[in-house]
Parts: sequence; C-alpha cells; structure tokens
Amino acid sequence: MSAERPRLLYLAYYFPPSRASGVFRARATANHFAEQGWDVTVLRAPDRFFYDIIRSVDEALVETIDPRVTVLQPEMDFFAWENDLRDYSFWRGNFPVLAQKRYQRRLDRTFPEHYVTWAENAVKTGRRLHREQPFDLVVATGNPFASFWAAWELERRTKVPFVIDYRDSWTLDQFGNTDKFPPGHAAWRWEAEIHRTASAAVHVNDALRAWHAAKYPFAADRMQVVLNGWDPDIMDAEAIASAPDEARPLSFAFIGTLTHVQPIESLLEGHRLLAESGAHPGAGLDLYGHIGFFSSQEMKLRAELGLDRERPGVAYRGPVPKSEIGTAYAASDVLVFLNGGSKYVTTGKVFEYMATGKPIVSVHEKGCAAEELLRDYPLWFEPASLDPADVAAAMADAGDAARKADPDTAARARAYARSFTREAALAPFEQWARELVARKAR
Amino acid sequence: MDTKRSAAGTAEREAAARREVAVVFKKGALPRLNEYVAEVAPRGVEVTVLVANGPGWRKAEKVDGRAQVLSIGRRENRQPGVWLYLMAVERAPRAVLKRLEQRLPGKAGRAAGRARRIHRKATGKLRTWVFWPVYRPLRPQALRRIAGRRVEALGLARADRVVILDEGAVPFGWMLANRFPGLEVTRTLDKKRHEDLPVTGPTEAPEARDPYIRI
Repeated sequence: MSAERPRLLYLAYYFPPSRASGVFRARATANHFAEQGWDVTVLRAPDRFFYDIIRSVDEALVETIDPRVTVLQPEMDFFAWENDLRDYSFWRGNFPVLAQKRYQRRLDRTFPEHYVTWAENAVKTGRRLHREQPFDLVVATGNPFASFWAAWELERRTKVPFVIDYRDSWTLDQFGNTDKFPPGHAAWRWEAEIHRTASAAVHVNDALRAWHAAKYPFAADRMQVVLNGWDPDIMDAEAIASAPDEARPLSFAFIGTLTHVQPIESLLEGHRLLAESGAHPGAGLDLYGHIGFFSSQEMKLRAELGLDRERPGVAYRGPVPKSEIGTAYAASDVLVFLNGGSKYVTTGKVFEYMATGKPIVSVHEKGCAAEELLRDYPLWFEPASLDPADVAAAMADAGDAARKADPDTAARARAYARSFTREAALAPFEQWARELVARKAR
Repeated sequence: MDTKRSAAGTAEREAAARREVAVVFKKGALPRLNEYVAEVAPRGVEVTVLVANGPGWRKAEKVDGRAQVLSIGRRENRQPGVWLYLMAVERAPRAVLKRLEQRLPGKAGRAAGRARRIHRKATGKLRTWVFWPVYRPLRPQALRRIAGRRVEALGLARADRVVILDEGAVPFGWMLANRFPGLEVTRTLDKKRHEDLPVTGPTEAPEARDPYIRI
C-alpha cells in the first residue's frame, strides 16, 4: 500500500458534468473513497463527448465532486459520433467504405465497443500515473464496458488488482431477460476473460449477481452486491415536508428519466380514471425529468409516450437539476414509481423516493427488483395489476394516505430510508477494498 | 399590434425559408429519410432529395411524395464500366434468350426458356458475388463525380444544410463541405431543429412521385 493513503484509479466514463443516470453512483463512489482517506484519480470521458455529442450535461453536479478527487479526461477517437463532414479527414471523406472497414477491424482486434479508443488512452494515462506514483486498486464502472477492458489491460501491464462495477449488465438484456449478444460474439469471450482476473465483480442487486454467478461460476465467490442509494448531500430529505397543503389539490409526481420501457400509458390512463372518479378532485400528475437519456431521442420518445398532446391535469415540467431536486419532491404529495419492471432493475430513484417519507405508488410489472426494497416501506401502494383501474385505485389510496399525513408513519418511512444512503451502501465495499489492498501489500 | 399574429407570421416566413437537401445513394437509408420527411414536411420545411437509384434500386422504397426528388440513377447506369457489365452480362443475354423462348417452337423454345431462367439466377449470383464486391468501394467516388457536375440543380444557395444519409454519399458531401465553406453538411437528420415550427401542412403523405426528376 502506498504510504498511508491508498491510491485508487477509478475508470468512470460517465462522470459529472454528465447527467446520465449512472453518474450518481460514480460520483458517490469517488467521493466516498476520498472521504475515507483514499487518493482518488478519476478518468472520465472528454468534455466534447458530453457537450457536443450527447449534449446531456448538468454542470451543477461538478460542484458536488470532492475537491480532493483528481479528474482527468483521456482523449478518444470520435469516429462513430462524427457527423459534421467538415471534421472528416481526407481519408474518411474520400474512402468512407475503407475507413469504416479499418475502424471496424480496430474494434475487432481490441474490444467490440466504440469507446475502446477512450479505454486505450485511459490505459496509457493510467500507466503514466502509475509510474509516477503507484496505484493500489483500479475500479472500473460500466457501461461502457470498455472501461472493464481498460482495467483488465492495466492489471496485465502493472499487476494492480481491479474491480469491475456493473451499473448495468453487459451481456444480459435486463428488461427482456434475454442475451444481448448472439452466441460467439466477442463480448462473451471478453466478459469471461475479465471475470477470470478481476478481484471482484460488483452488482447493484442480488438478482444480477446471481445471474452472473450462474454464468461465470469460477468467479462466483468474488462477486458482491453494492446497492445504489440516495445522496443526503444532494437532497436534504428532512427539509421536505411530508404533509400536503390542504388548500390545493394533490400533486402526483414522477421524478426521473422517462423512457420507452416504462408503462406510461397505464399511468396516464390511471390518472384519468382517478380524475373521473372524483376521489381526489383536481389531482394533477406532474412529470419531472428528461425524456430519454439523449437529447436526440427526445422528440421521437415524446410522441411514442403520448406526451406530444394535451392531457387534462398532466403537466410535463421538464428536467430538474440535481441540486434542485428537493424542490420537485417538496412540490409533490404522492410519488409515482414508474419503472420498466424487471427483477434485474432496481433504479437509484427508488431510494430517493423513500427518503422523502411520502406515499409511493408503484407503476410497473410485478417482480421488479425494487419491490424487495419497497416491501418494508410503510407508505408503499402497489396496484393489483397494470390495468388503469387498478392503478387509479392505488393512486386513490396513496392520495388518502397523503391527506391523512400521519407523522408517525412518515417518521417510520424516513427512518427506513436512512438505511439506504450511499454511504451505507458503499461502506462495506470500501472496507473490503481497503483489506484487499492491505493483503496485496503484505 | 397583434403579437400573436406577428409571431405566427414570423414562423411562417422562417418555415418558408427553411430548405434542406438530403443525399441518398443507398436504398437502405430510405425508411429513415421518409420518416424524417413525414415529420418536417407538414411543418413547412422543403426537402429536396438527391438519389442515385441505379443498379440495385429496383425494389427500393419510394421517397415520400412531399419531397422533391432528383435522380442521377440513369447517369450512374451509363458509366462505361457499369453499362458494359449490365449490357454484356445481363441485358443482352436476357433479351436474346427471351426472344428465342418466344420465337422458337417446341423443344428448342422450352430449352431457351430454361436457359433464360438459369441465366436470371446466375446474373443474380454474379451481381452479389462479382459486380457489387468490385463496384461497391468505387461507387462513392463514381457518384461524387456524377453528382459534382450537377450541383446547380440542387439549389444549394437556398439550402440551410445538406444531410448525407449513407456512407456512399460521403465523398460527395465532403466535396460540398470543402467547396461551400458556409454550408452545413452533416450526417444527422435532426428533427428537433424544426420542432419550433407549427404543423401547417397535411400530415398524410401524397402518392410518391416516380419516375423522379432526372438531372
């Protein structure tokens, strides 16, 4: 171990200022390790990727990074994302077919992902930094999974142990419960190879851990679960009042990213039936957040989700910067947990929802991984099915609970949520990493 | 002053000013193009499409009727190499065998019919395994030359941007990007650019125009 401060190299392609859903886990991991006395260096994607390519940025998040964390941006080849023909080289501009073939060959030779050029540069940067002052541990978070490859390559060249952190699964389609790649695809070979040498593979829930353990039994004893959690430094849960204002109608709210895998039609219809029933007169449905993960998808998704037309009582309130997320929660009386619903998908949002101490209505297929967490939350309302009538009934019950505003129940709900902070989730992992580094140093 | 009317008037004037040129040299890009035209045409955006509907476009999807379509397909087919191949390997033998089948009586006619069918299958295989592997890498440059001589027909002075939908059209697009420094030449069909314009035109697509305007 290097002196008294162990050194961590953290490969997190999506990191603030990115606003991708995965950055909160990466941000919390870097901050937690820095807080616990690690010397943390993060390698993330270049600014150009966030600002010009995917245009998905929340600059307020940069302020939430611990100042002790060093953040670097290895360069990458933007071949797959270059759209302005003025940026094309003479070679690509005149021989596009051959240029594409050469690019593809490069992916085939190294790693089957467009991000591999970033990973190659991350390896170079990592080796240079390691020569200056050795690292004790490399943690790579995916996606993109090229970061796993970079950690594997760094281990091969420097013998620094590495951990892979699956924010999402690589080869499993979490929603369809099917393989993402055909048999024989290079991804299978790489995943097995990386599991062989990784010191640990970390998953966000036990269902994902079990699936990977069954797939790679030789690495099963090196797999662990690090749940997501909510971030008290971003959201002051205690400041969010749980009792709704008697003078105004209830606000049912979804806060998060809207995607095509969510059963939004059940929610919208359920809300319409609730309004018709007169159970909670004037109750509105407020949708906060981005539509899709990339700005280019927004218009198409808006139409697909049926949000391009006026619906009485439904308001799309747009994205909320993470630093102001508390305002959105404070303005809501009942939270709607709209989710793709899969035993492999927990989502980080559920922890934040619970932290508010407000009633939560689930709108997702049965068997969603988040159910395990919500089951013991005292203000959870689960419809019998995704049928709009059932959704409306659950919304009405949750509305009643919000109006009742029992302080004891809200306190119990908050107390339960306190066990799901990021710190609580990351502490055992940090302790394990410290022990691993100490063992290797002996 | 009625600000609403004034704002609507500005939007209409802007819509009238918006014009895009899309370049499609591979038929695989047509569904994406049609989806785009269906989205922006009702908002008043004028789309001109340049297609190279030469060999291999027989079963291609038609371009949405709301777009003006200019074609260099015939010019492509008339290139010496392509023309010679199509004539010597496909058209001439097909015409001869067809005529023999129609004119020869009895066994000889049936034999000619069989030969015509064999020829049809063989030409299909030859196209896949001989013609395309040789022509595919050369095609972008060949089309760049043909389209480059007909740039005036595209009316680029009135175009906001040129969208290159497939790899085959990249050399032509790259040439435009270098020849017209003020012109935006991109690979992205960005519907969001026109989201601010109200839908004023019919959303139903009229019948596709075919044959396209040859240039």
